[in-house]
Amino acid sequence: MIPLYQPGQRVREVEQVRKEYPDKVPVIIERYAHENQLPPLDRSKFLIPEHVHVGELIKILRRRLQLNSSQSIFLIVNGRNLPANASTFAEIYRNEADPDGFLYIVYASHETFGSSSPQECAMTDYNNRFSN
Amino acid sequence: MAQEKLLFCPNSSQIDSTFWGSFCKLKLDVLGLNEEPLPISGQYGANEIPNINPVISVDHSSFDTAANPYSGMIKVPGLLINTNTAEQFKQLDKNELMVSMGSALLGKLWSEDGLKEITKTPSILGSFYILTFADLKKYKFIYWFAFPAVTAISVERLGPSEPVLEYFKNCTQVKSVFSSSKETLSAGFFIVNKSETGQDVSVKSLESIDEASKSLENVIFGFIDPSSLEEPGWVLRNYLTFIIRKLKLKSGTVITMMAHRPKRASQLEKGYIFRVKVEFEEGFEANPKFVGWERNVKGAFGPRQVDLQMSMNPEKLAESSVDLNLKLMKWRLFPDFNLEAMHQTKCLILGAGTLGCNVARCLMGWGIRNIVFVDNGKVSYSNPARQSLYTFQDCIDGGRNKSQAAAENLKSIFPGMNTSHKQIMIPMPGHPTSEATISEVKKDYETLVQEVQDCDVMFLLLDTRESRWLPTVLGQKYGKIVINAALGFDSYLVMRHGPGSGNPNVSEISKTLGCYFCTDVVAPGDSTRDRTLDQQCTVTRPGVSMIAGALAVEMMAALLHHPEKNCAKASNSEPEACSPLGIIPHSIRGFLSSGQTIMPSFQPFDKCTACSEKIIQEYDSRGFEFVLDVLNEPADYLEKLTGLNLLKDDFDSDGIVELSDSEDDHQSVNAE
Repeated sequence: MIPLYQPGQRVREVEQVRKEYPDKVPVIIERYAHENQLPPLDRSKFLIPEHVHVGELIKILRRRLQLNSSQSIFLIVNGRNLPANASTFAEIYRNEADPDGFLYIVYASHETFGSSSPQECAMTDYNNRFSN
Repeated sequence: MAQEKLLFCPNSSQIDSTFWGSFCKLKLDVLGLNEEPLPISGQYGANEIPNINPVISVDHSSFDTAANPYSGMIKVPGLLINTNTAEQFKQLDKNELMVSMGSALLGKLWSEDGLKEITKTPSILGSFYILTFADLKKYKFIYWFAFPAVTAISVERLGPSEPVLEYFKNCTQVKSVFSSSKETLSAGFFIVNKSETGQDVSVKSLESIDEASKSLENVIFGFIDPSSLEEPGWVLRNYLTFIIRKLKLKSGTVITMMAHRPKRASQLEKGYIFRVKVEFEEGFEANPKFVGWERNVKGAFGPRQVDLQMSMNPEKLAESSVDLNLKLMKWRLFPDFNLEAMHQTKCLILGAGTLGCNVARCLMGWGIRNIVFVDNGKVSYSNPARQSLYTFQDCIDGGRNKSQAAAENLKSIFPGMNTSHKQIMIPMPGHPTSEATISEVKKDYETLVQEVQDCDVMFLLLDTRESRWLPTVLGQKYGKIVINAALGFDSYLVMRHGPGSGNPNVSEISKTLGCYFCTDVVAPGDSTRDRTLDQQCTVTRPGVSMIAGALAVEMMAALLHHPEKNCAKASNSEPEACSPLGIIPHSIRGFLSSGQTIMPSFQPFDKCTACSEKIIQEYDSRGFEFVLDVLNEPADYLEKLTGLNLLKDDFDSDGIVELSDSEDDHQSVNAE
């Protein structure tokens, strides 16, 4: 993944934040650089309570991005892993946080295509099933 | 002077498989049941290989009697006598047949016109016959060659034979005389005249036999000898009869013969000269005897058989060649390759589009033979360019059913494939049924369930998220290998679902693999509503489907060779690999625009709308009724069932703090 964040020393910043919010982990959430279906987030730095589950974050993101129910997204942490929806941010942070103290998350739209062409798409409705 | 009976080396037939190929075609397309003897031609020549019987060979060119012989070969006329049944072949009186074949030759030898004809075309002396029965269905052939020869003459060899060069040692020009007479020699029979002293030698064609033979002392009867054994070849028999008849020789006459055995490297070194005394009873033509049936491999007089099933039945040929290619892998590169397992694995392909076509082709390459296609679309004009199993012909007149076209076209590419097809619509969440459609939906549902139960590997290559739902549930329920491939514009996902509860071998480790729906928190719904054409259709970079299709099949191949099959742990790096084909990741995500490929594995989600225990339990207890509810109830039905709806979705209540992007500003900002 190519994250949009600026690589650099954020250690000092993180130390400060962790002192202020001991039960929250610093996370950077960005849209995948080549994503072309989903909107970007207006902010990218978050402090997320350790008890929050990944699934919950996805739900929050979906609302933030105003996705309708037919749009599907997935998260990639640390540039290479998919977090389990049931795991908490405490676990994810422990395993995947960057040496700079942040947990990096990228979101992208889930692939769904497989086969059809425009003509077919226009007729995938059940009621059209017997027409040509 | 030492005398011994001269023996003749019998001919040995050599049939190239192209001969049978051309004959089958001719019989099917032209001859039909016609049993008229068919004029063909064979060839023989001096043999380069030592200690070999004379060889008469036939091949595809034998049916073109006007064709020129191959370089250095002599063309001989033949007749092919084919019977329409094996019984007829057996019943034919072989002795009678030999008499009639021999008499044809005898007729020529005992008439002035016939003799004249032979001087012009001496290869008539080597005439042959093939008696055949061809089983065109099984590509089995019974055949028997005959090289008829008149027997009444007994031939004694006088003294030892002498090498040609030794015999002509007084003639310094002998080599150049022969090398400048190649055309005359190529007839196979010729006359050599020498002067009394042996200083002058000349080579003449058989047409001047009368003139050249005025003094038998100074004439040598030459022939190209296809035998490379000590004895001369079979052709000499009829040649001697011809000489006796043509020159009206008396019994007891002694003549000199030359067995010409030219080789590429040495024209005259191998040939030899010998003298023979011919003896016979006058008038033997009135009660002629003939010999010439070829012995079979057992050395007995009987027909030979050849089974060309493997080399001529095009379908068998295709099968064995395809397998050969795969078997070569076993030699060194992939000794553990289990081709038999590939042959037996049944693959269910859901979605016969770009992915479906590419996956099917790649499966075929791996030796998979059993494929069922499921699709409900028709082939449209835009398809063949990207969907590699279709052609323009499949599009016209409204288009053929995709699943059927895919199944049939795959078979026409390789007839060894065992394909079938189901033209069904997969029931999908968010696509409600009506009274009118419910029975159809049920039928489609039942067909799908049956196909999933029957398969070993299911490929989810469908076009929408929601269409993958029911197959995912079924794959989980019946514990099948499920390979899921999905495309974005320039990205792809290829993954395997964890083995479901239906799989008795599920271990704790393998339970850690999620399914396609485990990564999101929303139930699948109608994704075609409210979306523009480019949003709801496979608008992807064309190569993406080929990459993803290939990876999907390779993932399956690795999985089938893993000792734990579907329960194989996800492996992302070589040291932990335990399939002979290396790593088997849980999922592969590729991004063409950045050139990145990641292979994340992720755990199942306990609130997953497709593979969680709640869903499988519900399906187990209510079956189709449950599926109907999923189709017809509001979109949050599955979310309520799994508890997804209870997940909080606002920042405040979860205590998430947004930070300003500026490094110095730590002020919290509340969500709106």
